[in-house]
Amino acid sequence: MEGSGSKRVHLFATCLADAFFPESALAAGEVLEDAGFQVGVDPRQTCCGQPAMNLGHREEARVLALRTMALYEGDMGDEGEQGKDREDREDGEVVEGGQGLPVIVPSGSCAAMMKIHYPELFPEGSRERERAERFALRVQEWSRFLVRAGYRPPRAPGMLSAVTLHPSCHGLRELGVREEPRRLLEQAGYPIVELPRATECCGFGGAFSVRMPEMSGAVLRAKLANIGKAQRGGAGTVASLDAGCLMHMRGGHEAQAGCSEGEKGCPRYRHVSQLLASVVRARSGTGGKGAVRHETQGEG
Amino acid sequence: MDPLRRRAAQGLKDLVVQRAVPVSTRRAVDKQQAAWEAFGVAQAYRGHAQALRRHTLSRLDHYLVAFEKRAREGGVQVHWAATREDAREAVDGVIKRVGARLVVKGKSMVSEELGLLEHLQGQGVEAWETDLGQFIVQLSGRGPSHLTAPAIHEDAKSVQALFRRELGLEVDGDPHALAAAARDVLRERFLRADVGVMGANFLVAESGRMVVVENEGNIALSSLMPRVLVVVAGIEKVVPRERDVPVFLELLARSATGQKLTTYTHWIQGPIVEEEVGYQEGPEEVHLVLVDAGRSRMLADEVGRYALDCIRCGACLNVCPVYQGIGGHAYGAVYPGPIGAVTWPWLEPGPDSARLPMASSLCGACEEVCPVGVPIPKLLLHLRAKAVDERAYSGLGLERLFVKGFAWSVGGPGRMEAARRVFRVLMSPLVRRGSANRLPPPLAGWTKHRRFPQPANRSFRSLWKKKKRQEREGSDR
Repeated sequence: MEGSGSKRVHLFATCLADAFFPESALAAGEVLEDAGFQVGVDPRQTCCGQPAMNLGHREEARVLALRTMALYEGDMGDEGEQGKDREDREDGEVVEGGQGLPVIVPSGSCAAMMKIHYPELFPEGSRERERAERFALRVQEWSRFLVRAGYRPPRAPGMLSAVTLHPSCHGLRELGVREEPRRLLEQAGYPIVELPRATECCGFGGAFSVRMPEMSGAVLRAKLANIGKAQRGGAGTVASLDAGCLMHMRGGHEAQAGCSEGEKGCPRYRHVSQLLASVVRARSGTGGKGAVRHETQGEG
Repeated sequence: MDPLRRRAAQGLKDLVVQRAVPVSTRRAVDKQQAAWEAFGVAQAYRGHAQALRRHTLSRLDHYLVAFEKRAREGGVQVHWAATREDAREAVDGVIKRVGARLVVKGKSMVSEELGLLEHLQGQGVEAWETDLGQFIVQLSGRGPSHLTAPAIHEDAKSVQALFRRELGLEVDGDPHALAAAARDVLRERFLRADVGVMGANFLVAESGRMVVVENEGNIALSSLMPRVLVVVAGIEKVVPRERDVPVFLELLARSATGQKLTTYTHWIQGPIVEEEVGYQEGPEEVHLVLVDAGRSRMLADEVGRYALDCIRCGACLNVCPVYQGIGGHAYGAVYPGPIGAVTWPWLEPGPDSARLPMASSLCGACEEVCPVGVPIPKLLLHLRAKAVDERAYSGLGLERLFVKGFAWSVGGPGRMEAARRVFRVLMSPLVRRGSANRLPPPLAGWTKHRRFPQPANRSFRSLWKKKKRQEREGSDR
């Protein structure tokens, strides 16, 4: 990894992680730091607007999109000048200066919303669309950013419990994130048990799970049955790149099996960030107890 | 509960559907996958096919007129039907003029749109579906639940019971025996039929020929044995040239059933003229009813039109996790599944069809498997926004309030913090080990099937701030 000089990135946690699974965003930030990046967390960040867009409320989605972009454009002034000074390259490696830093997102669906859907929210030829197209270049899904940056996670010295990987749909199909989480986990030393029919959706779909709970529940049941097979194949943890999927699968598993995480019958559900962070912490001696042998929930 | 949710719940409770659909769809997915991987040039064909479809639809008026000219020259009698009613009338006209009493039908989704089977029966004409799957659904009094596998929601046992009940036949519950029994029933109808009615897969503008694919031989018998043949086809079925057809044929069978090609591929043109060749073979009259019935309205929509690229393979239904779970009848539409959700709202606008685009988690498996790359998730989002803008069904008004409330609460960091705290506090009495199993609406549906987590004690932003403060204090020492 080129390490000369610190590189700065923004971390956009997503509203779901911020409010429900802060430990996964915390872990995402820690791993970015381990990779040598200086991580900025703009305290004004909230939501990318995906739920509004998914439900067909484009106006509300536009408002949230403009708000989100404005946080990272950091521009109160002349945008033309910023544009001249910035070098935007597709993978977001840019010069420093507060403008044009990569915006790293530990969620395939939120990253896709910002990279692919933001421009589509605005009329062709409009200034907003131009802004969105420029912004889209800077947005990177977290695991892909790390792999492209050449990051190798530390390898855990001991035995790690096996993990089965659920490839979240938006990251997989909208962004093509397929090998990255697997590679990072394997490099860290996590044995991987294949999830049968892994690319089948978990049924979350954001607003879909609230609007069409019966359909969502049926899809979830099929996913949980496959997770059960992976469990019997030795996996104690289900890993994913999206907090929404994790929330959905964990909630369903607990309801179905009547147990809580870590208890017999219930696997742990973890963001890939948490699995990597626990290895990072163990290496730097800041891990909680059992950080190497079992993955722990993490502080907070 | 909204009617779509109610039907989904019914599909989930239907033991036969649950025995058949999850297994059959996945088997079809595996076959499609294997065929696709073995077809080394699949992606190239897919790109070419998409380009052909988009080109054709951008000049549909030209190609339709060209097709009609050639078809007429070949002896096909072409009828234009702007509406479903026009289409039914055109078919009626032929039926009445030739005094038909028995019609044999090939599988045609357009004919389902027209309700043609019931319509003919209503006119006192005996009409039999000859595709085995359609034959089965006809006996059960329902429509097909899939584009290419009409009876995918049934299994051998249920079909055995159906044959016993509706045909008075006692047959082994084995697929071969059941097919043989159906063949016996239908063979006699083929021989007696006055008119054959079917759909077409492709209409070739260059030659005026119609292409119909099949596996069972029922199209062969329905098109060749009766004196009169009537084909009904949507206007989007046109392809420009003869040499374009194989591009689609290579993709269609692989996507639908995992075959390289269907068992039969028919190229149909006008009737053989006895005076010219000295013998009579096949029908004496060949008719084509070109059906619009909402397609030009789809075409006029800049985004909606991409759904017309579809070549009706059914792969998106097979791969859709929602379809796999609830089956096709739950959609309550002639065209179910992903392609149905972005087609039916155009062909039959109304509150029922307007709900269909919400029957999706937007996982994108449909677009991924589609042999012509129909961008179904994009179309779903487009139609969801359209439904909201038009207040297309009840409940959207209330939902708008929720969305505005959500947007307000994430409109600023302070509000989001406050919302999290309030939600956490309100949930507390119901929380055990970090989650609740029963929440009030709008989360009541969620908690019927899964536990809902309590918001965290501290937000990520607050935790990060604390971490940075600790690091600073640590490094100051």
